[in-house]
Amino acid sequence: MKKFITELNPNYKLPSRDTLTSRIFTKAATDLFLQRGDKIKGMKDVTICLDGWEDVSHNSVYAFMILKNDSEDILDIVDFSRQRPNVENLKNKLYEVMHANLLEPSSIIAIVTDNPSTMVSCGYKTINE
Amino acid sequence: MLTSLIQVRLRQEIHQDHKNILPIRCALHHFNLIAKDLSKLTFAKDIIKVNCRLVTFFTSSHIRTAKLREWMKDQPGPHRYLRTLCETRWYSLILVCLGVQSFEQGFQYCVEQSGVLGNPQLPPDIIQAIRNRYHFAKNNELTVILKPVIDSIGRLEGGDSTLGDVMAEFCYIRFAWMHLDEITSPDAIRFKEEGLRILSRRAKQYDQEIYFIAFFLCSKYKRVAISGNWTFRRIWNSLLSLVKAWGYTVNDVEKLRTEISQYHNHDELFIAAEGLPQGPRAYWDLMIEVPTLRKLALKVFAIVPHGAAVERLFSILSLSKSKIRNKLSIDTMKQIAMMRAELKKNYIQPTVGSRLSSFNAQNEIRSNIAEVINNDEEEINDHDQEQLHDDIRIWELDAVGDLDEENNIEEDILAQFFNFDLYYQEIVNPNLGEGNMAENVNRRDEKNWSIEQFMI
Repeated sequence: MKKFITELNPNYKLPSRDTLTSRIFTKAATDLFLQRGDKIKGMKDVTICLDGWEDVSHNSVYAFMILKNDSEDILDIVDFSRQRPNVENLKNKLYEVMHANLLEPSSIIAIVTDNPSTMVSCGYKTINE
Repeated sequence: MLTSLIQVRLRQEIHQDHKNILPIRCALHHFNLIAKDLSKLTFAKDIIKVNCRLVTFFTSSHIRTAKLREWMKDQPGPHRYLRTLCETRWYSLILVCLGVQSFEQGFQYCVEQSGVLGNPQLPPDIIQAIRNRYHFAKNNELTVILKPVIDSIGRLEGGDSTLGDVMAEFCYIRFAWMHLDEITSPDAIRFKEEGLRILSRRAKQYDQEIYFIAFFLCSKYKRVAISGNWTFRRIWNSLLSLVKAWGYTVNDVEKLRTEISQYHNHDELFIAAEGLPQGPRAYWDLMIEVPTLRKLALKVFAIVPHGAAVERLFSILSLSKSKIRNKLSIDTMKQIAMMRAELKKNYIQPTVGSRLSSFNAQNEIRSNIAEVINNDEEEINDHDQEQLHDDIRIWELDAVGDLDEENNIEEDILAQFFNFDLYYQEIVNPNLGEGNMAENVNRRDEKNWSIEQFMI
């Protein structure tokens, strides 16, 4: 890649790996983060959406997103592999995330999760037993 | 405990803590479950099994793929490719079926070529599967039956889908299935009936007020929405508890009552705006004459009924956190995901849904089972026919057993929800309904209907 760019024009100089990761990407991410913070602060009537996922190294990761009409933003991505992902913990985490993003519960109108109903009934059955 | 159960309970607990936060289930998962339920039935299972065998056989070797490509060169039009089945992907099932369907001739070309001029010989079970025209006809029918469900997923996946669309899609699927004229073979018809039962079981889980309120507020569907056991009165009553949680004052509720009954009774204002072919959000944006109802409707339609965004996020995450980069910290992952999502916003991809419909436009259903059997009777050998009859018999046995236990429990829930004659009149064939519209305007002058409906 570097060679290719130099061959295109010897004046072009690519930033080094260190500059790219430590300076440029961090700056871009911070800018985005600030932008997103401003955007979320003023939002009303939003939908919160969350789901769990397991990555390649088997950490259970939960993602919270904020949706409104056709805009979608990431609220937070949380690693849950060190604690039990039970209802209590998840709920506390959700409130924590909402608080960190200056979201009032009154401005949220819905919460969306996936719902495999077969699994739900199966779950209830196991509880009953 | 199961993660999904945790999420459901979380949803309920948060709803208890804050009454203004509604628990919503992901509609896309729900429709995908319908497709999954369908694929588990005997009829579909057998077809999908053969399809998967064909696909893995032809994609696992470069020589065979090359043969298929050689055949494809002479074919006109956009080409499809063979896809392998991946259960976690939303469109995978139909893409497998469509792929096999469009390669029917190509497979036959490979069979003709097999063993000629040093081409590798095909194993007997593959040849038998390809020669079995009955399978391809069944596959055709399966695609036709699956199509409404997949179309619905495609439409819902877009960012602008609303709660009202969920019910609309249920109605659409049911209507599409009831009026499938291409399906003639008895087992496909039985499969379809089984599908209807699955659909109504799934629809039953949506028997919640918010969906009906949203459906009622879609101007296009408002008369359909109140045609079944969810009457206007019931919707209004459940709406009251909703607006109470959302902090409406007595004054607001009174205004809302006048405005919603105007809306219900086809006021001139609403009739004038009805001609505008727009989504519910744009429609209510224009309705500035009824501020309270407009505010409510915009709030209801601001809810996103599915969690596609999170699934997309996870697919982004799984791209960055690969086997090689398995030590990525959560913070880095978050930053990467944010940047990728931002970059992605800058261009719009065509969704698979639109790709599906463009395919269907140019590739109509070519044959049904009856035709295949009539035209090619010589080609189907005795063994095949025997097997065919056996299949039907086994299927009949299965179906009868199911019917007995199902009929007692399940009724056609959707038919209870909505009046489908009205659905046909208003949605599918709107020109027929024009006379009725005029009638409705006149009905406003009658005096004996309004008292009841104004009551809370």
